[in-house]
Amino acid sequence: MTKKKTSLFFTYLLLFLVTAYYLIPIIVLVSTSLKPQGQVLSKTWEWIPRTFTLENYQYVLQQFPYLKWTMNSLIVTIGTVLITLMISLPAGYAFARLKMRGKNILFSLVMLTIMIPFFAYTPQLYLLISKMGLKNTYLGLILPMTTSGVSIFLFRQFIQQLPPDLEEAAVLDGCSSWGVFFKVILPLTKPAIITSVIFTAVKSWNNLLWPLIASSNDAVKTLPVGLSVNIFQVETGLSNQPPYGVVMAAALLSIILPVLLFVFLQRYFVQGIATTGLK
Amino acid sequence: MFGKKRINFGSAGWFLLPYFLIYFVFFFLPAISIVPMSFTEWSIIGTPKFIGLENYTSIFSDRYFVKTLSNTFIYTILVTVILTVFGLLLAILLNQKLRGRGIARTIVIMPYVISSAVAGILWRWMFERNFGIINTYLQQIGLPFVGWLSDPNIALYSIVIMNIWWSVGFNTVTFLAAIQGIPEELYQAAQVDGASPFQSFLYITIPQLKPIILYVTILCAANSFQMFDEAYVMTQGGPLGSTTTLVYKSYTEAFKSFRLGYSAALSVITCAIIIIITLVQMKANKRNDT
Amino acid sequence: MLKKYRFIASLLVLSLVLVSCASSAEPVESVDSSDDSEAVAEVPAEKTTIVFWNGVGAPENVVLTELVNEYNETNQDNVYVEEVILDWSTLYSKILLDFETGTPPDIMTIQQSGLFQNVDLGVLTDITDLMPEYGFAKEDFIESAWNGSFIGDKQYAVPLDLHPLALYYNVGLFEEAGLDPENPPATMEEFLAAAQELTKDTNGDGTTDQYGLGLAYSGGLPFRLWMSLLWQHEGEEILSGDNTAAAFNTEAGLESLEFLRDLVYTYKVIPEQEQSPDDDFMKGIVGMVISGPWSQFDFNTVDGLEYATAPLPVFYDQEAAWADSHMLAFPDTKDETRMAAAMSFASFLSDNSLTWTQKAGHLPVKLSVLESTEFKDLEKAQAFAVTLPNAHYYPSIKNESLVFGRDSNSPFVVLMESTLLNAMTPQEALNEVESMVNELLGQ
Repeated sequence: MTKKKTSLFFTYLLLFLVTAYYLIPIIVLVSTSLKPQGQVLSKTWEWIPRTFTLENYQYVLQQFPYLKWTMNSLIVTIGTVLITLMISLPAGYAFARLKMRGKNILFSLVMLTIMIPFFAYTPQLYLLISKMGLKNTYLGLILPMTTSGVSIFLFRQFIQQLPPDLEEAAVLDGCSSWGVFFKVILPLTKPAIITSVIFTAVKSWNNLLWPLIASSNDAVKTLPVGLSVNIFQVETGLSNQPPYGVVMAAALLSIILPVLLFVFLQRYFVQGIATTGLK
Repeated sequence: MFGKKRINFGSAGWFLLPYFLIYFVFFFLPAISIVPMSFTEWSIIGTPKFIGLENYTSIFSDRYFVKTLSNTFIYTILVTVILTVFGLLLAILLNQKLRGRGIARTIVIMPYVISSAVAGILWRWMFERNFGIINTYLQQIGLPFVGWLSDPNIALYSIVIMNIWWSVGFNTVTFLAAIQGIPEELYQAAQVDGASPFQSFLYITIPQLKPIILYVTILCAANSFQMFDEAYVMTQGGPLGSTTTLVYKSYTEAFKSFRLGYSAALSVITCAIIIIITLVQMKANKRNDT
Repeated sequence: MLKKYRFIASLLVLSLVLVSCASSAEPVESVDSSDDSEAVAEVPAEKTTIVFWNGVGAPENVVLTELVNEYNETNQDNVYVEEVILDWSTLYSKILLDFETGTPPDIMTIQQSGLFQNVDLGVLTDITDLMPEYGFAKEDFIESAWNGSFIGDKQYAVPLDLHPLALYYNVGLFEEAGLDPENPPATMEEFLAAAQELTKDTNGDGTTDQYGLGLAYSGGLPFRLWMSLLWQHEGEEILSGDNTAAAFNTEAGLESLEFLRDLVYTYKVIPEQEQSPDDDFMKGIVGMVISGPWSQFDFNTVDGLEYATAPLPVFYDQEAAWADSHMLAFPDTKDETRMAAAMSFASFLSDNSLTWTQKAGHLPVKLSVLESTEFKDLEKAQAFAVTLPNAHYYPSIKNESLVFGRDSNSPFVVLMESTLLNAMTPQEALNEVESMVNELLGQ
């Protein structure tokens, strides 16, 4: 009994330490966003602002078309997630289970997307997008981001891990391969789908390099571009230091939606596969 | 493999078509062009000029090339190993039925949601050598200032520390999702057989997670080999080139110096190395299977 | 089962929403007055719309935006300016891409240091003959700025400002250290004495926690300061007269470099491995900092920071300080109407450069503005104004971004990092960087 108690104690201690390591920079972030500039740049660091101010938040929200940027980011992110799911789920299933000649070569081609740095082909991509008339459009921002093989790779690995009994039963029941895909695979891969949604969304939400080049126009400007061009400069060694309070306020405003998404989706991680009908 | 004759589930063609249509136009066409481009001299404007292997020879004769390569490898190995192990342990910890689990999970994923630009600025600020937040506390307990980002022998490791904070959430969530896919019966059976939690971790969790472990390590290796944002924001490749990686170099060549041919050659080399690493990882995984 | 279909149905609904969103964003051809941006929609059809790339970066870009808005509201030229906000590095790569696809802006900001490279690539329009038409004349401008807008004997840009280095000092810390804030250091001796007075242990724990000068070991400023010191030696230059070889590996170059290293390691008036001198100046950790006029923008945001400016001290034979200049350049669009509109807009910005100075700190280059009482009222700008006649640009070369780059692998950053981190002796560093520069110039 005592052994169990000590092990529980250590589990909680570990949980506490890990949480602290993760939390401290976030506290710095929150605290800085609530300080006036004079206090941010004080000689000694203070965890709690001497005077609280919302001026950093006001500056970000009033000086800049923040809502417009957020809307654009939202559209681009939702678009990227949906298209990625729609094309990657079937492909991941096919790579895991279905037969086709040259499948392995095709999979290697998918893996290329993970291996080639994005900006290596950014100039060519931009020239191509321009020719297609997709410059400064949502589609031009979305489509190049959906080619990443990360989701396909995840689905393939995840589906391979599943026991094939259910699918075989479904085939014997007369299901077509699309039938198996929709009726058996989709429900079983829910945790992987959630994972893919989270990561595709976060990646798209924070994507800077491509929108920076491809969306100069205010009509489609996304949040990260707005932040790191209009509000502060990212590069070090430039003339001006970033206004830390404003940077942190803008950052906190920009993570509200992704964090909510995660809080909402993470509850799917509590039900094991056993409770979703595999018995 | 499963002890049964496998049933033919049908052909893959229609399942792959939608992806490969988009893939071909928006990835393959532009990406494949870096191969011919790596044999040319091109600064975006005008037509590329063929110069044979000159880009490659000048890369290999660059006095900083070996340094850049070793930076890249040290960083990749450290980050891949730490992130995979740490991510898995964290996932198991966060899968326990403990109070406050939801909050702890949210906190661990939170840094990943912050953009690399902001994460970089935040850590650059905390890492500041003179009177930065971390060093102030070190000084108070009697330790000397550490040049987290300004000491050429330390800067790369500081980026590793920042990266663990920033991106372990990715691995944790992936593992967390995969753990949900392990049938609970396996654990129940093991418990009946009197297995300790550690034994069930070793003999059930690990083997069951194998495909996902492969996925995570390959992704980690490929991503960290392409580390760029962190160095760009925190160190600009310095001090003394100690955080310059292959990809960082190829970025500055393309977007600061406008030597796109040279940059393309660097990308081809980078890509070739990642392909080799991935093949080795997959081979090693296969060997373990049999 | 039902749940599953609901999931798929909601996917479908969302994708429909997406498609309708996407189709509402038809390609926005940036040059036409399309109905996409609300602001553009208000423009009467007969107005000429031009695209202006504002690349000066945050936070100063806000000031330029104000001027654009003012022009749009008040101009009689029948011009509407559509502003695109970028940062320098995006601007320089995007201009090449958009020039290649045939959709460059009509007018953009450029730095003097970036001019040659873009002219060399054929991006910019020669405006030598257009300048007089729009009232630009050589005698109205500071000579160094006017000359900087020429490549060879052709003019490619309208100079907007000049930003040389000068000395900032903290008035409060000066008084505490018994220094006279009315008489800032002007020579090497005075500078060293002041720096040493300012360097001290304020809380008595045995370690120095206040320093005389803030100087980063990396980035652009340290080597710009070193170049300024080199130019303060009579007859010294960075590159040879025809800009084909390095000329800085001299006695003067070495002396200047050794002096900067000694400030850190011998006199110990600069903190070691200093990363953000501007931050430390605002925090009161360093008493002086050498920077361009842009730093005022940040310094003014800190309540209770009382500071003043002085011309860069003369460390050697003569006054000299590094400077760069913001200019307005015109990518070659081959459209005369829009070119004319762009020139009118440039002329407005040039005439109103006082606002730019008042709010962003950069020095005006028009003599009429420099002599105006409004400018004379800007106390902190005067130290920079003194330096204007002795401002030095980087030598004009076509691969400026390689030679004078600010990345860790750029030659002059290597020079300063190696020296200020004590990884090489100043002589070794000079030798190393001399060969790097010669290699780059030979390409």
